[in-house]
Amino acid sequence: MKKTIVLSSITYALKAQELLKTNGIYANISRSKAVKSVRGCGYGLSIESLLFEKARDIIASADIPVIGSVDEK
Amino acid sequence: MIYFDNAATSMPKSRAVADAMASALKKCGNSGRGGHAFSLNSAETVFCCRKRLAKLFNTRPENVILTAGATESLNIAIKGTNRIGGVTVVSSMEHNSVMRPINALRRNGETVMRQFLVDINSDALTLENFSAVSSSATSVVVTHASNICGRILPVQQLRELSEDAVFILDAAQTAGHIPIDIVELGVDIICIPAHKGFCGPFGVGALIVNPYSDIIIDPLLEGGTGTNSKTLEMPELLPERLEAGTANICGIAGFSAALSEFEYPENESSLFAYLLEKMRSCVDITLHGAPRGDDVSQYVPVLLFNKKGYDSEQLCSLLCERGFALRAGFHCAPNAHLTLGTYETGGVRISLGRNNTKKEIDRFISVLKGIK
Repeated sequence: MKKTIVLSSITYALKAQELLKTNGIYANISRSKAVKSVRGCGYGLSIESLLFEKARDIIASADIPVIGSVDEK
Repeated sequence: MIYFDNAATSMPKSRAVADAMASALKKCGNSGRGGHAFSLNSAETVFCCRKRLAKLFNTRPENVILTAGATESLNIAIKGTNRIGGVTVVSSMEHNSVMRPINALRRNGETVMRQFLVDINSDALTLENFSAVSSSATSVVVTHASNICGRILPVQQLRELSEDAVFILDAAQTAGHIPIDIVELGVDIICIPAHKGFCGPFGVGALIVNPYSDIIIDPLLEGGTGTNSKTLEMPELLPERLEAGTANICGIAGFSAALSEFEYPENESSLFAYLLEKMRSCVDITLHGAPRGDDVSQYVPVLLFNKKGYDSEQLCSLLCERGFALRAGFHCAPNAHLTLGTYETGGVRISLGRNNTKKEIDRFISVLKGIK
């Protein structure tokens, strides 16, 4: 099971991806239907559900704006 | 041909820059527009360029807006922060890339422009002149260093005297020549080209925003950003707010490659001091706006001169025929020429780069003296 954290742009998605990687969390850039459902076109980071909360906290602590999160089917 | 026109653009560009541009043309899709490998490869190239610039200027990657050059950056900064009824203060050394956008605002009744005289020999007098016109300033736009004589302005002190204004710095002639820390300087925006001090390609530049600044910059262009497609408004967040349309990926890849091999030049100041000494030995040469003594610390390596009995364009042509690339005339900076007393004559500009040598300067001086 995976979850997607939706970011405001590709810039923030790449920044967040890099930040997570330095914290040992590997996330794939996603442009899935789930991302689209949040606010039209956009980018997200696909993360194992177990790591979701930790990842979200890391991203928030770096002041990277998160638009939302969705479960992947 | 010996190249002494680095204030116009640096020469030569490196192989790495050319290779990166060619590779981007083959391998990069449209950045921020898709989830496939070509688009993500492109997005990573762009983000890498932002990160390298952010590190150099001490800001965040998202505060680096990639543009078509310093002129576009300045237009976005000047017009995007202008509020009707404001007062814009400029120095007397500005390039037309600053003067023309402000004049367009002034013509439309959107700002009032005030100018302060730069005293080439005294920062104290420059600051005094600034204080006399800056009390109600809502924007201050100044060049970091003159494109005709290389004089560096006392930016940090100017900023301290205008804390409430939006402060925009034109760093076209200093970026890549001297370290610039946007937080230390305290300015809101720095505008730079890729193709001068950083030895990158043409058609790319950046608008760099101070991470502690709370200014709102309105876009100059509206269009697609690859995000928030269902709204007709541009995104609120940087950098996409100011980057409508497809980016110049090849240029950005070249810029990023230039930054990856970039180091601040170590010998420019000593070479400039050497040039200055040699030029002073020419009896029929007049220098304009040059350092008075041997201290060149307040200058980037740009020198303006004229030769007795010669028009500047004529002299420049003669030097070109003898194998030297310089630039004559008014250098898109009429007010700066007015400040230096060369408004009627123009001048010949010699501008050094990281590849110039003492031997080249010796040859130049010998040829210059030989023109009778």
